[in-house]
Amino acid sequence: MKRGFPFLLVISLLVLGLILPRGARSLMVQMMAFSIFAMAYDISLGFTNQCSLGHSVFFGAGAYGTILPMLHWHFGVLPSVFIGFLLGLVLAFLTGLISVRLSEAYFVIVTAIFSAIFHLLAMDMTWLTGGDDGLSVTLPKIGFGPLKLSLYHPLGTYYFVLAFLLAGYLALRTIVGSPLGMIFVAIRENEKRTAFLGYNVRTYKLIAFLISGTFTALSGGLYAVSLRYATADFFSLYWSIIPIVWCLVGGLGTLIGPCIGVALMSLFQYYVSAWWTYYLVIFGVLILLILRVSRRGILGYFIGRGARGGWRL
Amino acid sequence: MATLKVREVTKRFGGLVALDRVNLSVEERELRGIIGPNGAGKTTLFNLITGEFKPTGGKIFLDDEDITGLPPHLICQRGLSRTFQLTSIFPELTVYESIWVGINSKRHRWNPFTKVKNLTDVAERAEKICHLIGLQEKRDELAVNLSYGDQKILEIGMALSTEPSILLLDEPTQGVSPKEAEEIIGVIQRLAKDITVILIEHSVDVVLQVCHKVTVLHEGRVIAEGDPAEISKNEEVQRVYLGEA
Repeated sequence: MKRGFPFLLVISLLVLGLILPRGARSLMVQMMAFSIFAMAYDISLGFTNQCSLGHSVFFGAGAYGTILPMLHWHFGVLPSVFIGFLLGLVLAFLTGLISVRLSEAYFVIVTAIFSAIFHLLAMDMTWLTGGDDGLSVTLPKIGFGPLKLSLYHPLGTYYFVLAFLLAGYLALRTIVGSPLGMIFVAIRENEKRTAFLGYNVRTYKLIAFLISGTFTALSGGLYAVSLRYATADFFSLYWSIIPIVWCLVGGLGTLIGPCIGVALMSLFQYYVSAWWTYYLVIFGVLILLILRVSRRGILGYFIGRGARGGWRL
Repeated sequence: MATLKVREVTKRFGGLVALDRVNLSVEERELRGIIGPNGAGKTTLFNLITGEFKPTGGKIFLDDEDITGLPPHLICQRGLSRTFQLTSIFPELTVYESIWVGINSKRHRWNPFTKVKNLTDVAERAEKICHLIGLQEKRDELAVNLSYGDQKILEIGMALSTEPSILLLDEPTQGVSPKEAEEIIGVIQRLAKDITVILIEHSVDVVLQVCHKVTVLHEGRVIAEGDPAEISKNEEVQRVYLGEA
């Protein structure tokens, strides 16, 4: 079962694209894009214990980094997504250089300030970002030699985002299962001890922050591609807080857990908000209940407190 | 070569002088004991040597290299490792993983690609250390689930896993049962055959029994230094410990 399960999951994701009705499929696309965000965020919060409130910066930057090159310079989709990814890397480096030096509460505050600054800038610089109204873009076709993939085809976006989700998961999975990932977990467990075992903790925290920020930007880019649109709202604090909810609900310190959090939250938002405007109240209660039962979220409940240290699925 | 020299080291916290021109010289493969009443400055001395604090004055040399003011990770990389008085472990890592992290600090520090399981060099060494400290049967237990005594032993194992030439132990037997204390002392004596060990202990008996040489701190000053026999006869030491003004 252990070997078969990931395989089954991939197959069902592939098949789902074909059989889901239109509405559910676009919800699925959104959930897949957010899953990359959630996993990336957990590298920061769940693996190195850096509770960032600044990830909206990378999400927004990824979205605009992807949309603007297509809009102004007629770049292809893939190069544009890559530019968004790089923009996330640069911004994570600049903000990380300052913030990883700070301990807990100060880190939270400073990253939140970055989020606020970028949100204000994005709202203000309407010539670049389109402000609250945002910018729409027409997606060019993606060419693989003679093959052309149009993201306007109902299945195009689904498999496009799915491919990135799988690649992103594999990349993060590799990092998390490597010595680097082990050191991240050690830092989460006891930062001071890790330093006294010979590791430069600050550098490792910066690396984790960089990985987290760049993959968040990738998620922002994919989300923008799926909407064919980016707005200054992507920089708002909402996008810094929502990943914390995903990770807490799904299971900190894992990669699959945050994806479960995304699925739960998105489905809830989609179906419950339809009949009650104040659905977030119910969701808040639900979060409290989940965390009351299992401190480590839904996945944590199923893994249990087994003897597997640092578990990172 | 593994010698430690502390030269005229002073540490002030505001108006409080925690250490006052302390000198200490530890030879290779020595088992040195440091004793003194509460507040004598024993742990502060360790904190200065291992880079947690910078001294207000004075210098510290490891194998004749000036390490004064270096950050902890660089001092550890130079072969000086420590344990903490209040156990400092990785609560949700297993015994094996905790040791693994220490060993890896001198091996695959930046590797983001290879699976942890596939690094056989670290795995072999980790098994060895688990055996050495006698925790091989509990290697897959989470550190947080160990008894306090075993946590103390794990701490020594973690410090040892960085392959130090000098090991600083801060009250390794504090708060454990007499039987566990005996085991810990046994481990320390085995270690001292190969590396230099500096031991802070509250229990004077233990220090006098196992150490080659003993340094006595009192109110931030070294008041006596010598072999156990000399120390137990020293009048000033007796006065400090019996509390006569």
